[in-house]
Amino acid sequence: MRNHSLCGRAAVALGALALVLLPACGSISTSSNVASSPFASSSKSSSPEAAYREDVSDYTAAHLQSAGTPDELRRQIAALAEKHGITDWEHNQATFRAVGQGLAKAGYRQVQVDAFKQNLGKTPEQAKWIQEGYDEKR
Amino acid sequence: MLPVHQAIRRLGARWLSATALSVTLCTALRCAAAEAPRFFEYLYVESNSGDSSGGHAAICFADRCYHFQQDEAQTIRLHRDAAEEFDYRYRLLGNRTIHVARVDVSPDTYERLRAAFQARLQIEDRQYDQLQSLTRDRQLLELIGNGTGGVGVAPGAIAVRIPGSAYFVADARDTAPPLWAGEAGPSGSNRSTTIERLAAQVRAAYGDDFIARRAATLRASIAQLVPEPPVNTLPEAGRLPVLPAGFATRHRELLSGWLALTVLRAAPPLRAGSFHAPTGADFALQPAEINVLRAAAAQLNAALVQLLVSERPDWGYPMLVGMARLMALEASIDSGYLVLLDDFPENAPSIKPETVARHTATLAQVRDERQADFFAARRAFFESSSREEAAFSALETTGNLFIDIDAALQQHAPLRVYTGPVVPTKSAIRSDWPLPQLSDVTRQPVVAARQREDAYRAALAGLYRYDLFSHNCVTEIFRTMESALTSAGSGAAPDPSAVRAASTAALGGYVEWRRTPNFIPFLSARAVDRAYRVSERVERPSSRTMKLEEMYHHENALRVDLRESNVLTARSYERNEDDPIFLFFTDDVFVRRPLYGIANLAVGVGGTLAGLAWLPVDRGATLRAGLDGALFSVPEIAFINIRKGAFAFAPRRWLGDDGTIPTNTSETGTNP
Repeated sequence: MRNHSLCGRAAVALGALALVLLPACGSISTSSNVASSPFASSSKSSSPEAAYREDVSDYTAAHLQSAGTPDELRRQIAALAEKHGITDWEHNQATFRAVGQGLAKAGYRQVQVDAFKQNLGKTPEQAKWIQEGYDEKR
Repeated sequence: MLPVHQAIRRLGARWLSATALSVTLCTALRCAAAEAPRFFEYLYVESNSGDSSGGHAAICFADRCYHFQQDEAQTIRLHRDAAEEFDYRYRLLGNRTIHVARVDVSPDTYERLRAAFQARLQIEDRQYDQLQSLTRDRQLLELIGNGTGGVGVAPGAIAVRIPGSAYFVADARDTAPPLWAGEAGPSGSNRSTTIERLAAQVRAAYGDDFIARRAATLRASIAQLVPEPPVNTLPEAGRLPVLPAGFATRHRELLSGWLALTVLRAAPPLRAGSFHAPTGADFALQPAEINVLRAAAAQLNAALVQLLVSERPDWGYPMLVGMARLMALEASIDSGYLVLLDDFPENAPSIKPETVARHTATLAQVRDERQADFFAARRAFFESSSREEAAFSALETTGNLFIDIDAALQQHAPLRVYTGPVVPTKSAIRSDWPLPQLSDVTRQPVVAARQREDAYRAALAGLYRYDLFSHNCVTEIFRTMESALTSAGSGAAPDPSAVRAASTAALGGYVEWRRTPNFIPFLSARAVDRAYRVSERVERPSSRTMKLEEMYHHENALRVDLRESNVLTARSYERNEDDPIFLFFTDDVFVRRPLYGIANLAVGVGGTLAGLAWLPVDRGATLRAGLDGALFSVPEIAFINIRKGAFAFAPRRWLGDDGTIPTNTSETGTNP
């Protein structure tokens, strides 16, 4: 038992020594992308829409806490939306609900939300979606 | 018998006690429900030859895995992958077993940790976006300077990329005049009736001169565009950069809008080669599906009319893509077959036909999976009542992947590599787009732009420098966790005792990673296993391990052992050109490992010598494979396995439904 333990430790030490000399942390060769699919996980993971909302709400909160402008927020929402298969995010309810959730995460009060809705929610529908998202998260 | 007042008092006390007990119980139950533990997973990925040969580490929250990778600039950068994508890449293609430790935490701790990794990802992504923006600014100034003879860059050396333009505009090498060269665009039957109908609706909504007037305004804005005064802000650790859009970004936005209006005016057909119109049975449409497409086209049409008055600065890109998709939808309705835009980027890398031919059997299985993905996306889109754009994008992308691999296998065509975008972004390659008419663009603005770009790049390299011992994929996970648990800023060095206390409270213990061997992925996993509140340990076997288990289950063990011991006869392995040269597998043997290692070393040395002879022919590919082969054979002689062989291609089904083996021991064996 003792010898096994010593042998095991020696093997671990040798292995660790070998691994110190080797580069860790690199990425697998990009040729692996050839057969991976953007939708491989769709059958088992949580909803793609939930993932999108989480990304938008997280970014909205961070953007507001960094005093970003509305135009910059629109640009970044667009970039996030494209990663989730959406180019016309202004007609997408999930986007505005996520923005509302982001306002709640950023600690916005209702009076600030009302002002924000005038900037980003250009239609009554968009403003309603923002409010609903805010109310969900508050 | 008690006096009445005492009876009442006692009764009241009992009632109060009962109420208090009920309230306490209810509160406890609610708290229990609200505070149901969650877990994150700490992943250790075993070593293998190639990148991450020393192993890798990741942290996963639900189905999202965060991991740090070293890049070519010798920096360490955070990435996020879907858990299945991570599994596919490392366990299947990389053929590496993944060891998982599930750490129970409270919901509050879970959210703090998740938010910290997500925040760091957002910050790094924006910082690198900013570097790209500075690079594009400099390139645009060089292009403008080239036009005025200012800075001596070769004509055509720099192209401006306009995502979505390739569906209507040819590349520069096409000799036909560009879309904006003439007044009326294509003539007669070459004009798109779909776009003409859309243009008529736009004129009806906003006025007859809206398109021409708006296009002229944008053209003038492009000409008058000037760079903003430079903001010399360098990236800071832990701080989200919120900077105004750069010169090139604003140019691209104006140009996209102007081009979209030009397309609306000229109504060109979709450019040949920018879409797929397959006529196979898999793409034939049912009458009900055609009705769905009609409704989708009407919905898209209405959205495009509204998009023209959007306040989005980047409305031009969705307008271009939307018009192209509208035309594809109308073509689908007319033909009875699904017509899809080609949504591979214009510079998508591809696998050579010879390589495809060598892996036909495996790629045929990948093709079947892509077909299944396409069918699933098709069902999801046509059966949904809401017709969301994301569902259509999924249909488009899965259709593209299926069409592409089918063509590669049947027509011996190159197989394009999918690199991530799930919306069409194809750009025409041209350098004669309308440009800002800056006067006197001399060398100085370009030099200043290059200096800003270089300074930003150097600052990023300083912030995120890779170091084998102190800034690698393991240390950065622990560093990020610490900053989340102590709410310390990324630049601040947290108080060690506070860190230890916070980690113990939140995670059940503390892993000392500074100035200890725990920076090694293998040892970090052991440390996590010993220190944290690990509720479950799971081993997700590599793809080859699973194949071998299946073979041992059904065949004679000795036959499997002999056949699968070497790359020449093994059915569990397909030669991968990126792998080093070797003969025997050593990850599934122990006593024979040194003997196999000696044989592998001899083969590696032989490959090196052959590589020297073939150096002028193969540019060193065999030499590299031989040298790597020899290098990874040396530890095998000392009973240490690193190399396991990897796969260039693999269908997801090789992983099975749930290829996991629960283990409740902290011993992870001698295969690091």
